[in-house]
Amino acid sequence: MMKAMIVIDNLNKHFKSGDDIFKVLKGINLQINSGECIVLKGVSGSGKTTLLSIIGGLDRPSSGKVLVEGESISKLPDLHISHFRARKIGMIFQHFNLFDHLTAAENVMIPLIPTGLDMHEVNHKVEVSLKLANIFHKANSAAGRLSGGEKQRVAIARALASNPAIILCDEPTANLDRNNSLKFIDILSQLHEMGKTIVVATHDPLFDTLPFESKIIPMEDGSLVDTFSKDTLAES
Amino acid sequence: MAKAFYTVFSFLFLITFSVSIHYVATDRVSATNSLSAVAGLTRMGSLSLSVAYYEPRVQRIEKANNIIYPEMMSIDRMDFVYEN
Amino acid sequence: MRTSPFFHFLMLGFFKERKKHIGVIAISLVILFLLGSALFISSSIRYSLNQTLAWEPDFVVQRTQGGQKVNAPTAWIDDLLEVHGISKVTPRVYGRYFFKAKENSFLIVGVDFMDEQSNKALRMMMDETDLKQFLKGDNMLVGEGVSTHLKTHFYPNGYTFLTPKGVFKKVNLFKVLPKKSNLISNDMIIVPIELAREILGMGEDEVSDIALNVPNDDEWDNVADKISAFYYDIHVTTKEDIKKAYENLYNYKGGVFLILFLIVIVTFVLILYQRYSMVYSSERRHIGLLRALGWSIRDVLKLKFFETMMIVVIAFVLGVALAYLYVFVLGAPLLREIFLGGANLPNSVILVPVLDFGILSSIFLIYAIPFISAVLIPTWKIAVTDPKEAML
Repeated sequence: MMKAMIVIDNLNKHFKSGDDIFKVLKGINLQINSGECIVLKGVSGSGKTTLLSIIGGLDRPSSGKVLVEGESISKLPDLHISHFRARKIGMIFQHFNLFDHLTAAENVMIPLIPTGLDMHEVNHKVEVSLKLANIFHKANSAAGRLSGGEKQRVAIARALASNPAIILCDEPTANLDRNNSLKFIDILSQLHEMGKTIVVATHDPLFDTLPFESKIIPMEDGSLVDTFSKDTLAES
Repeated sequence: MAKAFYTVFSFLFLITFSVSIHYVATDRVSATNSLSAVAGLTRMGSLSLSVAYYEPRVQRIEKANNIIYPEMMSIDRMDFVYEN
Repeated sequence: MRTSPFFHFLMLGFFKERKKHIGVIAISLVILFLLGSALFISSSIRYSLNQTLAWEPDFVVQRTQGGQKVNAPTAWIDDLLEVHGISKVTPRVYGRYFFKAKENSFLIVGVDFMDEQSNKALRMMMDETDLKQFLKGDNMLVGEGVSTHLKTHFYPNGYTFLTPKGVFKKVNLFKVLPKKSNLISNDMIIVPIELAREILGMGEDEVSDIALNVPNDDEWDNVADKISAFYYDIHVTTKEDIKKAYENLYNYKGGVFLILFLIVIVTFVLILYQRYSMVYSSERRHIGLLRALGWSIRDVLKLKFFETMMIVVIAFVLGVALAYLYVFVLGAPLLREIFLGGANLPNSVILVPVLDFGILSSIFLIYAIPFISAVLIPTWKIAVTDPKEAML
């Protein structure tokens, strides 16, 4: 039996704007097992990015719980949630979010700095991650000068740097051409093989037919519509 | 980048060190002696202000009438020699 | 050398984005340089003047009429000598001689060379042979400013004064006073007391004012009261008054400093505003990203604190060192004229290096604390918001 990595229990998120309340997530219940790949699919505004942010500890829910490896992260104090993000979560953002003035290697180093490792260990981990993401040859190039695909691979290397158990990808292929998107999916497949738990928020149809076992969860208006495995989707 | 840091801070240290050396090595005694000799000879130690003839050269005798700009004396002052 | 990853990242941020910091370092440097220069000049002048204060008389007695100083009668000297506790009563004869051609003036000081103290001071300046030679004829000792002025106007060896009686009086330039004494002697012409009287048109029974000492400090108030009661038109100035006058002139709380401080404060507020808004706009996303990548609020604040501290230290050390170089090595050209004036003879004074560490540390704190706060407060405000919101 697979171990539950992430458990989401009756999760709600709303924003207030004057007297109006916008409900972004409505009573989400979800369990993601260790090593699973989940694709949250939906149009813009369906709440998938918000859900991803709450799982990654970047945002806090209005009500409900998120348990990661049995520990509730929703109300952790800053130091603990930062520690949780640094060790357990690898984030890949839609706009890559790299520091353009730093090199690829220096960008990958950032999540390792607060972990207390020494320079030698940090350099070693950076090298390993860059090789894993297949971007080691650009280690010393400034991030601002890299192409979209290369930037994405640096972002992947950065997400892998602290060897996290969970990889969260927010619209990872939105700024990539088809060729680079397919390369990204290849890397994702490698990560899946390594046993990482992967959650992807996307509306890219390429993720409908991933070459590895995955679960597609459509989202609509802040709720999970249904759960499909790759095979059911193919049948439909 | 650490190299740049050490370069910048070595430079700052060098500057501070040079200033300290200059400060310590300056001969204050001879300058003070020269001033004391003139003050002792004339019994006047007032500052040699480069003021116009209608402004008081020997400052302290008058009371400043403007606290913000004490050098500015009242406009009716004409204490150059022939005025006496 | 082993460096920590945090230090490495701090250096990366600082040196790779140096363009962002150079502007603010340059403006801070200019402010600190200006402030440092002004304070260095004032503390140096005050130091030198306080050194000469020991040679100054404890009291100066003057005659005033209608609020103006006029010459005092020599008869006052005898009256003053009768007061118990007074010593070294010296008549002073001085006045300004107007050099009409260039609208400049010199300070003519008459000295009684037979007086013991004056004689002793004169021997510090010249040897026995020179002294005898000097006392023989109508000779004068002049300050450097006067000497330069006379040379420029073709009087290299002396000057012919026109007395108020309409008589020409030729006086030889015997010696130029040392440059190191320029602070008080630049526009000075020292001549024998009788010659000074002649040039200034003063009678035998007149003096400009009378200097005296009261060795017992405790008696100062009593003696001042006693002297003041002698005549209705007597005005007594004490050494304390002189000290206060110097304080008024060159204290950082008054005079030119208030204007300087005002300019500095306005500029500084602009810098703080620039830093504050820079953190809010361009650094907001960076802070949010660092937080998203696992940095705690403390880590982010630590990074920004050290980054700002580096700017503060670099600007402070460079600003103060440049001010030191400008004032004590180059002699503070331009700025010294604000302190010493430029309406009469130019004074190329040698400023003795004086560092007032109390004031220097105050400048550092006044500069550093608001500057660091202007960065850390917005950083903290951004860091405590959810990373997702900060990254927007």
